Amino acid sequence: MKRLLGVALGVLTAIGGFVDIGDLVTNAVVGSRFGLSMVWVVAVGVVGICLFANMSGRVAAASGRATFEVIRERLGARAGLANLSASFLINLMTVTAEIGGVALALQLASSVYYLLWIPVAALAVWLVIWRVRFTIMENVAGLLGLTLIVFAVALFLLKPDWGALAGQLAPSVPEQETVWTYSYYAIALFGAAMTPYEVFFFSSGAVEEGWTVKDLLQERINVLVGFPLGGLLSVAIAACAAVVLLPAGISVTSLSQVILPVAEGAGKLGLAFVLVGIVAATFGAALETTLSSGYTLAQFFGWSWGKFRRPAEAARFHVAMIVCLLIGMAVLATGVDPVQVTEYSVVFSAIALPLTYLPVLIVANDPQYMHEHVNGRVVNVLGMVYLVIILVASLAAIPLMIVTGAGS
Amino acid sequence: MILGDLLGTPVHDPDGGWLGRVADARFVLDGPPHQLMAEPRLLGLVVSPHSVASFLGYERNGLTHPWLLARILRWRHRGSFLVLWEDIAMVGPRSVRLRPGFTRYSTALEDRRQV
Amino acid sequence: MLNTPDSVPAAQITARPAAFRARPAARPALVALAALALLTGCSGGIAQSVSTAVKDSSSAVATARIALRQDMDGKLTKAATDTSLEDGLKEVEAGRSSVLKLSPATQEERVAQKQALDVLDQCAAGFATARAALAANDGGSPSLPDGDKALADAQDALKQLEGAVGSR
Repeated sequence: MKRLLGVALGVLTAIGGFVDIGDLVTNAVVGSRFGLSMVWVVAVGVVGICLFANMSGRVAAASGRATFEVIRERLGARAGLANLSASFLINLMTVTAEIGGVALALQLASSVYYLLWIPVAALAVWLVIWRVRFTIMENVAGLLGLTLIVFAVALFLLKPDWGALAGQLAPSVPEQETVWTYSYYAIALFGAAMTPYEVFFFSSGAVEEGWTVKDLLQERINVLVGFPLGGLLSVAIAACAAVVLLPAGISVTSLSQVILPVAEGAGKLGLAFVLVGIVAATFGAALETTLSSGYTLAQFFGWSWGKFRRPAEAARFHVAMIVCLLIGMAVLATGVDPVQVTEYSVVFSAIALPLTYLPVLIVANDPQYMHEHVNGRVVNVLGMVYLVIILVASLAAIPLMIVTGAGS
Repeated sequence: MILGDLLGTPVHDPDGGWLGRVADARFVLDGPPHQLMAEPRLLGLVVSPHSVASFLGYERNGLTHPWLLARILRWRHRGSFLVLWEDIAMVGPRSVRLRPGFTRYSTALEDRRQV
Repeated sequence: MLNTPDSVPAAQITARPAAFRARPAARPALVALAALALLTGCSGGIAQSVSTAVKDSSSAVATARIALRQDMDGKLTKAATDTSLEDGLKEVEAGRSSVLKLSPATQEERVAQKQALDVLDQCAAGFATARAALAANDGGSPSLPDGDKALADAQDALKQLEGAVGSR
């Protein structure tokens, strides 16, 4: 019974933890501009993140090593450092976007200007990282994030023409868009679903929680059930935008537009749920990304890391995270639009994906680390297919960004 | 000069012919670790004619998956060989020169703990 | 075999990594990238900028109208409506300042810029009315329907302009 409860909790937090500011914004933007014609990208991304998270969780459980320890060991100091710098900077960008997301959601709830919420949000992130136990932090954020299911509820309450909605599912470029903007947003959506920080976080979390190969089954269930359901939630966000905003000629550029369909379908109660959900999801993701930045640095440089140690025993790890939060705050204080930071962060996430994916794929095949838990044949075939997809997305992203003027 | 500076340095045979570049340095442990640290001994340099990028672990014979990736990485390092430290005549900042009659050893590593 | 070391496999202790140096091949690629950026950055011109600003503003005005209607129907809280209007106004202002920065070369372009600025001013004024209505939500004036009316008028003007820009 207790085990079943554990599995249920794991799955629920995986659903709630799947959606972050990147998924919220990108799905709403895509839904409002391209309808449901990019659902296939979410599907490809979800299969990818399942594969990738599963592999890195398995590496962590079987070898006791988290992603960046592996990257450093496999690539060595120099190539590893280049990899670390890129991954770290993109992670920092995501921290910034998430904190901005928390602040924007709090503005929607209170009408107090979001810039005033930023120090509050950053301080709260720091306090939780400093004081709250890892499992509690994970479960509370994940469960509260589940209130985002209101997007799916609102979609039903909006009573859309389901036939017409299903008709949008075929991949096609709407007439007011070009094939270039379509491809650009496809990559952004792929990056939003595959967010590499989830993988650093997932594998470091496995070490934090002291996973062993015995926990692999539960890990697999969490990922294989939780992430696809999280993916469905992303599709619901896009569908809401496609039903309410697309016909009105609105293309999403702010968080206040993302919530309008929910208010349309489910009124003030729905609005309350969606605001709680957005705050929880972005706050949870802010915790995860901040921790990830600490994890990546500490794992690479060989510092003591982890929330399971007292802060004094992992001083550099904690200082690194404080510095990251301060940098994120400083960036937001310039008045840069958090939604725009988000849009760039998901694209850069897609660009940086091969950097973490390839080492994990290689190590998951290495019997010295994995013993009998090396990748099976099916996983390897899928793994190679995704390596190609990830490489193509990564290489195409920058040229597409230039050609489309970042999707405008 | 530290060992890391050697990576990417051109390697020439005794007559000045181009052999490739230093792709890696290989060590052995002669005995069990001492009190604090193991004492690795520099066995030799790995010379690769095509690429100085990492072998990513695929220098070990036991590692053959994912098949395509293993093939690509091995192909990139085709023709690479190990020269022992004793076979190296001169190590300079811009080139490494080997002694006459040097031996090309295979870069492959047998993995004894292979399951 | 000589190269099979004792104890730990040497793979784990090699002083790894292959050089990560800026390869000469990377430089032409960077130059090409920069050239491409320059090319795409300079293309477009007045009509392009005006049409982007108009499109963004009409999206913002449409959003504001939905938010106001939801507010009147009791579906949206005042804080959320207020934030929506503020975001929309920001969008219009951004479009307006991008049109303002253009330097038209021909008479036709000067007319286009002037027309666009007039309409975008009307949008901003519509937002001002709507926000005032939301702030004075006690039956005073302007009322929420007044705000909606102002935004609807702005929306019509935008549509006309869009047609004009499109046909040009």
